[in-house]
Amino acid sequence: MSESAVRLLMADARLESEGRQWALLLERAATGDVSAFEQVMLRTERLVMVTARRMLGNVPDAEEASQEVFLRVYKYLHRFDRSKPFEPWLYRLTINVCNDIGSRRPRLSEEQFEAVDRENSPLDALQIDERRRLLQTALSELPEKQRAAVVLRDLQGMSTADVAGSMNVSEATVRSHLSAARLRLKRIIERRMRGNHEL
Amino acid sequence: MNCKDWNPHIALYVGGEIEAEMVDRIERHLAECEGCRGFAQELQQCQAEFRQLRNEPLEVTSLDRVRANVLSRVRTLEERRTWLDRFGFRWRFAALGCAALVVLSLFGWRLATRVVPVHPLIDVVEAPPMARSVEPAPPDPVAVPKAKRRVRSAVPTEAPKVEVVAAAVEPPPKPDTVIRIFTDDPSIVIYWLVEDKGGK
Repeated sequence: MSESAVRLLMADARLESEGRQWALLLERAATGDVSAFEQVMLRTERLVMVTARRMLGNVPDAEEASQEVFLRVYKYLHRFDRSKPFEPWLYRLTINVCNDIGSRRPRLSEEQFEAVDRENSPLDALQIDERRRLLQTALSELPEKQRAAVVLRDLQGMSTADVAGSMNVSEATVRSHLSAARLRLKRIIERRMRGNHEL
Repeated sequence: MNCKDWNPHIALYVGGEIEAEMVDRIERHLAECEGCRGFAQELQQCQAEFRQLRNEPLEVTSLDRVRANVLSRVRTLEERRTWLDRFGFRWRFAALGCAALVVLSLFGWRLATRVVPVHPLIDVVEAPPMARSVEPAPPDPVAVPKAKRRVRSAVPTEAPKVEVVAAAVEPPPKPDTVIRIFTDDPSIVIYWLVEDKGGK
């Protein structure tokens, strides 16, 4: 057996063992083991926080959404079908919670979207932040389903099938949402840029 | 198909979600149409900017804050949790169903085995010997009736003959039954003597 084949087999075995450990961790967390739940949280908190921040556009709302998501995970983990992957279920919870919070909040203006510190020159940082705010504002103007599709596919980099699984819709529906959202985003960005130039 | 009809397909083409058979048709159209080529480039630029957002940094303090809050809430919930809450909904309902079944069975068993009390005011007892003496003595099977003896003694020439009259042997009398009936007044008790006269 060649060295590369052995390496592949070892990688497979490692992945299988990790999968088993993850399943055990979920099992323990579902029975109320707080330390196991903490491990689950440590592994998935970044994913939830980033998605919530992209869906809601600011850190305080994203923090509130993340807390609510993990409390729901703790409450409903025993109902989760462990034969299926965990991430789509978690994304679905996150999107639902973000939609709930988003519907309660008034729409943010472009200035209210938070800037991100970057290690760039002040002028570059300003331009990047301006562009980022523009994208975030345009995202917030999309309908909920189109926004979720764009966030999961274009910002999180998930496959169309995974996005469909997370949104509980067909792949054709996801494609339809993506197409409509991209055209709409382009129009919103053009309109805003034209408005900025006119000012 | 005009250029406006191509736009939704181009929006999917830049993201790589389009079907394989459509890719060739779009690429042929883009090669021919300058307007759509420009539209596709703008969309691609937008996609590239979105991809840059993927590497957005995340504050660790924010994550720590969320985790601390969630874990403190979870620990509080865990402390309040009873042993019944640890089971899933199905098991909880199953346990409650079993408990209800046991209670119903016990209730049914109690109903089935309940002793119906005899009416306390009526008591059936055997008659005392005094009550039996009232009854006439049973006839002697070997005794000769008086009338017959008198007729025979009227003939002195002949030796007296004792004729044994066969009489049916009656079964011994059954003991009488006395039914004692108590009234509300403890000083009044009604006795009801039931005499067996051998009737059929």
